[in-house]
Amino acid sequence: MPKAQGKKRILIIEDDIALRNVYEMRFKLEGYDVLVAGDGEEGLSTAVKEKPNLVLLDLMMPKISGMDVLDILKSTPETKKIPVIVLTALTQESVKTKGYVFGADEFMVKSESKLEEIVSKVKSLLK
Amino acid sequence: MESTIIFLISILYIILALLVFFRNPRLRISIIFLSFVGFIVIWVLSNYFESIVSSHELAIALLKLDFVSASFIFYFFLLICINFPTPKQRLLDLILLSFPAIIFSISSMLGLVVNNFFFENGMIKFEPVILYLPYSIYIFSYAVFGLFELLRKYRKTKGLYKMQILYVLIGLSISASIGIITNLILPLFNVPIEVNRIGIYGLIFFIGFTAYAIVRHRLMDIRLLVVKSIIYTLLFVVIGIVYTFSIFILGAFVFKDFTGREAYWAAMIVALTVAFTFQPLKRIFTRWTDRVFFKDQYNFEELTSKLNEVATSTIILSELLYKFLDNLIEEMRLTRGAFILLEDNKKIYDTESLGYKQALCLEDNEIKTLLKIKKPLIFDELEEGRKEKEIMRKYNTSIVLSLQTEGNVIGFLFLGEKKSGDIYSAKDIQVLEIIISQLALGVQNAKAYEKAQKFNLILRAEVNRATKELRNTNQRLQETDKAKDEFISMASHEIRTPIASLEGYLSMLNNQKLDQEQIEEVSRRSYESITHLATLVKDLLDVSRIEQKRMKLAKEPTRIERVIQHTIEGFELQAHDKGIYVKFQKPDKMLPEINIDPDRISEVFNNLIGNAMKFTEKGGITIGLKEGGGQAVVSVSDTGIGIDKKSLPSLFQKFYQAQEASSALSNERGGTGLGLYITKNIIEMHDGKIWVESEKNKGTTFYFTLPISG
Repeated sequence: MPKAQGKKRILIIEDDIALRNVYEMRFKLEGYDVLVAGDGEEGLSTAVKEKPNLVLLDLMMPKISGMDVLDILKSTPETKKIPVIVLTALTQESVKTKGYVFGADEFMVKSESKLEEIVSKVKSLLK
Repeated sequence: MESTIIFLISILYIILALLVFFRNPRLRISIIFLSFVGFIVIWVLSNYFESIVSSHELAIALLKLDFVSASFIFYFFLLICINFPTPKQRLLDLILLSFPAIIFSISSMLGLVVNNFFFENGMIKFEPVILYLPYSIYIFSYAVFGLFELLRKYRKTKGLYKMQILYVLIGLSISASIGIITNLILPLFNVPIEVNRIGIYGLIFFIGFTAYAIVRHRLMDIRLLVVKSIIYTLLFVVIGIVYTFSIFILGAFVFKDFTGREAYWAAMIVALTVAFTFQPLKRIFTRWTDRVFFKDQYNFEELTSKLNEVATSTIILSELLYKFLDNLIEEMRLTRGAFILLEDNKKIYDTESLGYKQALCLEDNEIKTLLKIKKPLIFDELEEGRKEKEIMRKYNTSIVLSLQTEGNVIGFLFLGEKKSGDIYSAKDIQVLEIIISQLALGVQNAKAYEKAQKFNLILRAEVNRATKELRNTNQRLQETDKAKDEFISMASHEIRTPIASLEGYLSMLNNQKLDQEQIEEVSRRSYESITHLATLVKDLLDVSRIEQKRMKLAKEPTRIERVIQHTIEGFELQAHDKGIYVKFQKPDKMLPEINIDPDRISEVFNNLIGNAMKFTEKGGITIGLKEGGGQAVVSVSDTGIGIDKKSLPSLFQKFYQAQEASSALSNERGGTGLGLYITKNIIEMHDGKIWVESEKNKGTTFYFTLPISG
C-alpha cells in the first residue's frame, strides 16, 4: 500500500450517489486520496483547485454534462495534462469518437467494465 | 230567320245545361247552372215573343215576364260566380240572396218597375216607374258582385281552374254587358226597343265561352269531334259524287237502256267499288286531316319506341328518370312532369321533376291514398271532394299514373296539362299506360343496379374502415411495444446502478485485505444497496402494473385514522434518531369508514412520510386529516428544504428526482424516482386527487383526497 505522503489524488465526478460511494471506497482502499463531485460544475471547480492526478468522469450528468467538463478540462492549460477516464452508460460509437477527439485518455462503459477493470486502468495510467 | 236563331240559341242553351246537369246531377253548380239557363231561355223567348204577338195583353204579360226572368238570371248569375268552380256557399245564404229577386219579380208583375205600356208601330213600349231605379241597381250590383267574385277567384286559383274561370268570366262579362246596356240603359234614352234584341245575340258569347270551359273539362275532345266529322263528311261527299257520277256514266254510255237487269248490275258494281274504296279513302282522309289538325301531334309509335329504348338502355336511375321525363314532356308537349319513386310501398326513394317550381314531395297520407289507384287518375274526370283530386289540385297535376311491377306500386308519374291547353285524349292515356309499364321495368332494373352500387360502396367503406382500424391497432401495438421497450431499457438502467455498486462492494470483500471496521462498512453498504435494489424492483413492478392497467385494488371499508396511525409508528424510531417529530393531527370528529385498499393507501403514506423524512433535518412532519365536500382530505407537511417551483410540475413523473433531492441526499440513499408516480396513480385509482405546495427552505405539503362514499 502506497504511503500517505506520496498519495496520488483521484477526482471522481459522478452524479449517482451509490456508484460514487463505491468508487470512493474502492480507491481509498487502493490507497489513493479520493475527491468526489456530484455534478459537472462542482467537478470542474474541484479539478482546477485541487489539480488531481486523474479524473474519473461520468458523461450523463445534470447542469454541465461530462462531455463539456472534458472539453473544458482539456482546453484549460492547468488541467489539460490530467488524464481523464470517461465512464458512461452510453455505448454509441459517436460518443466514443467524440470523447477521444476531446482528449479523453480512456473510455469505459459502466455496464461492461467491472470495478476491478477500472481500478487496473487507473493504476496503469498513474504509473 | 230571326225566329230560327232564337230557337237555336234556346235549344243550345238547354242542351248545354242538361249536359252539365246530367254529368253530375248532385252537384250544386249543375243545378244552379240549369236554373240559370232556364231563366235565360224564358227571358230570350219572352223578349222575342213580346214583339211579335198581336194581343196587347199577352205582350204586356210577356214584357213583365221578361223583367221577372231577368231578376232571377242575375240571382243565379251571382250564385254561379260564387260556386264556380267549387261550391262555397251555405244553403242559408242562397235563400237570403234570393229575396231581392223574389221581391223584384213580384214588383214587376204588379207593374211597379215598368208601366204605362203603349204600342208604337205594333211594338210594345213602356215607361220606367217608381222601382225601376232600385231594380236597375239590384241587377247592376249583383252583376258587379258576381264579376268581382269571379275576378277574385281568378286571381287566387291556378292552372286549369284559372283558365276555366277566365273563359266563364269573359263570356259572362261580354254577355252581361251587352244585356245591361241594351235592356236597361238604352231604353232610358228612348232608343227603339228593337235594340233589345242585340242583348239576345250577345248571349252567343256566353254560349261559346262556357262551352269551351266545359269542353276543357274533358266532356269531349272537340278537335277529335271536328276531325271525325270532317273525315266522314268528305267520305260521304266523295262517295256520293263517285256513286252519282258512276251511275251517270253507266247510264249514259254503258247501258243504253238503263232499266231492269242493267240497273241492278250497275248498282252492284258501284256498291262494290264503294265497298272496296271506303277504307283506303278513309285512310287517305285521316292522314290528310291529321296533317292539318294535328301538326304538332307526336307520333306515338316513335315516342313509345324512343322511351322504350331509354327505359332499357339507361341503368343509372336518376339519368333514366330524367331522360324519360324529358323525352315525354318534349314529345307530348306538356307543361310539367314529375316522378316519385317509392321504397317499400311508403317512403320516397327518389324524385325527379321538370317544369315544377319545386321538386314534388308527397306527404305520407297522400302516398297512402295514391297507392290504391290502379288506373290512371285524370283530374277532370274525378269527382269533386275526392282525396285524389285534392292531391292533384295541390300539385297542379292533370294526370297521375302509377308505376307497377308484379302488382306492387313502385312510384308515380305526375303530369301537368298540355302546353296547347288541350285535354289528354283517350289515345294519349293509352300511350302513357304502355310506356309507363316499360318504364316500371327500367326503374326496377336501375334500382337493383343502384342498390348493388350502393352495396359496393358500403362494402368498400367497410373494408377501408377495417383496414384503418387494423392500421390503428397496429400503430397502437407498436407504440405500446415502444413504450415497453423504453420502460425495460430505463428499468434495466436503473437496476444496473445498485447491482454495479453491490458488485463493487462484494469484489472488495473478495480481493482486499480489509480490517474489521472496513468489512463492517462494506457489508453495511452492500445491505443498503440490496435494500435499494429490492425497493426499486418492487416499484418497477408497481409501475409496470399501473401502466398495463393490471394493478388491482382490494378495497374494503377502512378507518383511515388507523392506517395513518399504523404508518406513523413505523417511522417513530427513524424520527427519534434524526431528532424530528412525526405527529398526526386527528380531526375533531371521527371520519366514517371509507372504501379503500388499506395496503395501497399505507404505501402512499409510507412514500410521502418517507420522502418528508429524507428532506427534513429539523422540526418535523405533520399529518392532517379532515372531511370536506364528501372527501377525506389528507395533508402530509414537513419543515424540510422545500421544492423549487421549477420542479413542481414534473414531481409526479416517472424516474423524476428533483435537483434538491440529489444534492440534499449526497450522504444518503437516493430514492427510486418512482414513489410519487406510484402514489399519484394509487390516489387516482381511488378517484382522488393529489397535489403539492412547497416553499423553499420552509417545507413541503402534499395533499390528497379520497371520496368518502364510494
